[in-house]
Amino acid sequence: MVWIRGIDEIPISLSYKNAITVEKVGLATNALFNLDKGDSLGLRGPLGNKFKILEGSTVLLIGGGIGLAPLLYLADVLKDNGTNITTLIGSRNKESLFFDDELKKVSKVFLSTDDGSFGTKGSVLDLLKNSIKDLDVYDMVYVCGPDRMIRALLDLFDKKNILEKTQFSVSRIIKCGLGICGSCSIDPKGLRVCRDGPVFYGTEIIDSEIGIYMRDHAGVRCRL
Amino acid sequence: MYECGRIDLRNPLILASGILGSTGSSLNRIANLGAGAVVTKSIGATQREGHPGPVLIKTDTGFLNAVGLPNPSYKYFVEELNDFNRDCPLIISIFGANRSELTKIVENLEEYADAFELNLSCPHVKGYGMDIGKDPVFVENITREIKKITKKPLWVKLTPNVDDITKIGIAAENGGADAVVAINTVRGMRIDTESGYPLLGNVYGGLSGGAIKPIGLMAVYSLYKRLKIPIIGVGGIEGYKDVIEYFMAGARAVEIGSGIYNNTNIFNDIKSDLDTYLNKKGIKLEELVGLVHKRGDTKECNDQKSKEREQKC
Repeated sequence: MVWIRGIDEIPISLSYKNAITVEKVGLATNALFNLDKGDSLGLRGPLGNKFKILEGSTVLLIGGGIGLAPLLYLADVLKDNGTNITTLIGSRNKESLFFDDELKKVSKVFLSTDDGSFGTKGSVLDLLKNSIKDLDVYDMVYVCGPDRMIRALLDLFDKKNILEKTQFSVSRIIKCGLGICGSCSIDPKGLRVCRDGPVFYGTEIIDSEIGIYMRDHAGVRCRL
Repeated sequence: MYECGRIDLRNPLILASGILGSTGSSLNRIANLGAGAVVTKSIGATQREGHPGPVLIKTDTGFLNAVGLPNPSYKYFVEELNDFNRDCPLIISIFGANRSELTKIVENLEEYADAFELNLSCPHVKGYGMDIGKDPVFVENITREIKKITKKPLWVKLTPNVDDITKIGIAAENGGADAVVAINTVRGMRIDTESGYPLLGNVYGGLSGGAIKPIGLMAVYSLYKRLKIPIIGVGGIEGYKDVIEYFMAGARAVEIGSGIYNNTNIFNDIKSDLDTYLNKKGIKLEELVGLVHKRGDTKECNDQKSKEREQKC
């Protein structure tokens, strides 16, 4: 958890060994952009679980939007383990594309943008269907991105019967970060994203609320 | 079944309010892990997002929280209640600033509740909780008003942040409460030494966990001396011996909150350890209730001793 003093505390994953990468989306993230060199932050963590890593394997990383940030750190760790990595990057447009150069250094990269301004036009799901012929060659698929993307991939991997070889980093409203308050619980098992997650195997969340609804800060369910 | 405060509990170990109680599926998970009953997150008349973070800080011996009563309001909480599997009794925790707010909530959630727990003790939200729950006159009146509109048992959760918790307990009993729950968290704060900012977004909050067990025990002990209605003990329960202490002080049941942090299976674990203890002693749990009061007052004992000493001289 990253604490911007006097503003709020928000959950953020590492994008390098000692760095975070942030998208301006609200009060707290905007405040982060207003900090000066030499200013400090409060940090609490690491919290929750982590990606499970197989030594010397062949893996596929799929990242959408800011979900790419933790995948870069994962790719760096996997590279040191002698892993053969392919990465799919989904972005809104050319301007919001980031980390593609960094990921090209450690993996084979395929790109898509929603508006076709760079790489293949379409969603990351289209990109997957067009660029990856055989999903069975991968020992593990790692995913981080928006709920809709996760749901589309869950359903696809379910059809292909490879859910047990997929790991998803999931996002919810996280308040306490220690698995006590329950604000990040996902239905129907009551899994706590901050403590039981944020990384779940596809088998654990295929029947979950992810991609269908999520709760806001007050706990009201919002359909996606 | 185990009767306490007019409801039949599956066992006397209850999930405390504010802990994993904000969704139906989360309540199901705890019910499946052996809780005797579950208490929901406190529900209000209108939606609240809660305080800005940090909302929870781990301290050496417990937790300091100022979550700030986030809740979807009774209207949207019905969705969660419909998801609850009813594997154990459901106690709905409610909070409000006044009679009209509380009446609305109780009337709308009546059909879902096996009992209500009136949160008059949250220490970190202005105008709610302990702000109003430290006034015995208010507590007695609001308890009486709510009893008038519900047939369901009403438990009142008390704040320890007062001179004398028994005054509030007596007020609840006079108002017609079916049980009191003691204690809610103890007011506290922490400060960031790097910057001088308070560590909680709300500046101050409530302390829970092992640090407050002696405060909770003292509260239950004092309430037992003055009240006829059952007392549900809360504060720092992590193992079966903590439960036994609360029973000996006078509790008829207990609630467990922060203890879940280290062990989500805490209800099953404590239940089995308690059974072992009771079998070994050859007694029933009910026989432990208020035992410390039967062991003689230490002060009387000391007075007696000094009298004997005087006589010898």
